[in-house]
Amino acid sequence: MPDETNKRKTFLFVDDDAGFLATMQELFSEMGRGRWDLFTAQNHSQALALLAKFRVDAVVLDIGMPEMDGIQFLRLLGRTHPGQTVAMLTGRTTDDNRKTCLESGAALFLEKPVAPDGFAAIFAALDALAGARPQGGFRGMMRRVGLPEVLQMECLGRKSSVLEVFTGKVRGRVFICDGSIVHAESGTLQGEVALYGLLALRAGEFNLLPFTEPARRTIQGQWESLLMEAARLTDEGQQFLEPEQAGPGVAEPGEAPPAEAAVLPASEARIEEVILCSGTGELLYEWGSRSLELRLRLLEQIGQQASQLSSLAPVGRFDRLEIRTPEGRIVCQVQPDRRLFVRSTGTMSPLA
Amino acid sequence: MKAALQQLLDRSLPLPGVAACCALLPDRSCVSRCYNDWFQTGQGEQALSRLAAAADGLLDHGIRPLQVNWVFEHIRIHLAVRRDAACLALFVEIRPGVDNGKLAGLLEEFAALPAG
Repeated sequence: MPDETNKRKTFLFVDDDAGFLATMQELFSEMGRGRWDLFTAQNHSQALALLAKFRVDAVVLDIGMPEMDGIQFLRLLGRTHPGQTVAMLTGRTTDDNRKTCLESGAALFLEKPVAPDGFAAIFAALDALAGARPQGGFRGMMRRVGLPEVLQMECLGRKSSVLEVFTGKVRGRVFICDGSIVHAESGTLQGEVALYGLLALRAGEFNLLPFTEPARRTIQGQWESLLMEAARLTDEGQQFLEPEQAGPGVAEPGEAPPAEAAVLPASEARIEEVILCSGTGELLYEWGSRSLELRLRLLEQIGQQASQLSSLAPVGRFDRLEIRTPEGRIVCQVQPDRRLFVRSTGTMSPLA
Repeated sequence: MKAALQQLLDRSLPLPGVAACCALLPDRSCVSRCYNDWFQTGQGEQALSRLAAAADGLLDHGIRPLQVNWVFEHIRIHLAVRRDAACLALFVEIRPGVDNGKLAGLLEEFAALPAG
């Protein structure tokens, strides 16, 4: 087992203060003695662009930033990069901020140093945090070993583990407990849709990590059925969650989920409109919409109609509504934590 | 149309995974078939009336549906909608072995049935 304290560590510092970033880069590069790689970003857009290209051990976030503050960005990262280690480094060390950040997934809440020995303390804390990744896992390339095979091995062995999957743009995790797949998440997607999306990836890397309990268990089916369904969907040409193949509507790296890809069959489809809201209807992302209010109302209505249908028959929880129109296809996903509207045009198969 | 629809359903169903099917005709009469113990005709018909209303409501949003698929945890409901307001809903279990090609064929045939 390699010594974790001596491995290279990569950090992304996000702060709107260019002077502070320059100081951190200079000081910490020196303290790291060649073991620290530092990226810096002055806003969330730059940070997301970097995260789309590079995998980092920890993101270090300031709170007070324009456009999107550090707490909002922390929450966004929780949706777009689940499992990403994030530390807060701020001058705004109020109890409220501390509580909010830690509850929102920050691993550390640190005060910006004002004296030289303060930088040393910050360095030590971040160095330990980046070296604290779970031991005992293994890492592989999906081109060499297929994800379904890894899952099959884990399930057959009745093991408990977390399979972390990442490509250039997609990050996801599959939780296996005592040989059963109990949860999957990928970007903003959770449950079977996320699992099928990850299983349809054709290249990437994975880490097999010790099991940790997910915030919510979203999958209940037998693993054999889940893998068969994933294989069937993949065979049918559905392009799950591969942003490389998604349309132009999801161009911003790391921001809007490429969820249309999760439900569109292979086709000449072109995404024309994307709307993403939180579960309470708060708009998170919009692209190409000419009638936003109407769309939001539609998502609200679909949620209500799905709820009524659920009460009539044992159909289970609602996932999405797919509408084929003369022009193309519309997908409306309504989940407790998000609402998604995607409209695409083009040729596609009648049943997806 | 009712006779043609009955013939179509007799010829096409049952299919693996199809728990039930319900059709609403232009005269608002219903044709139902159930192939599963846990899904009753009455449930299907109630669901169909809601599905038809929901599909109709899409027009208010500038969306003209040809086919609507409601995807739940255990069931997919495929609804084909015709210009004469007739619609056919297939309640399909989410499990291996479902023949999507045959389901699509059935829905297409329904859409092409002669009116009247």
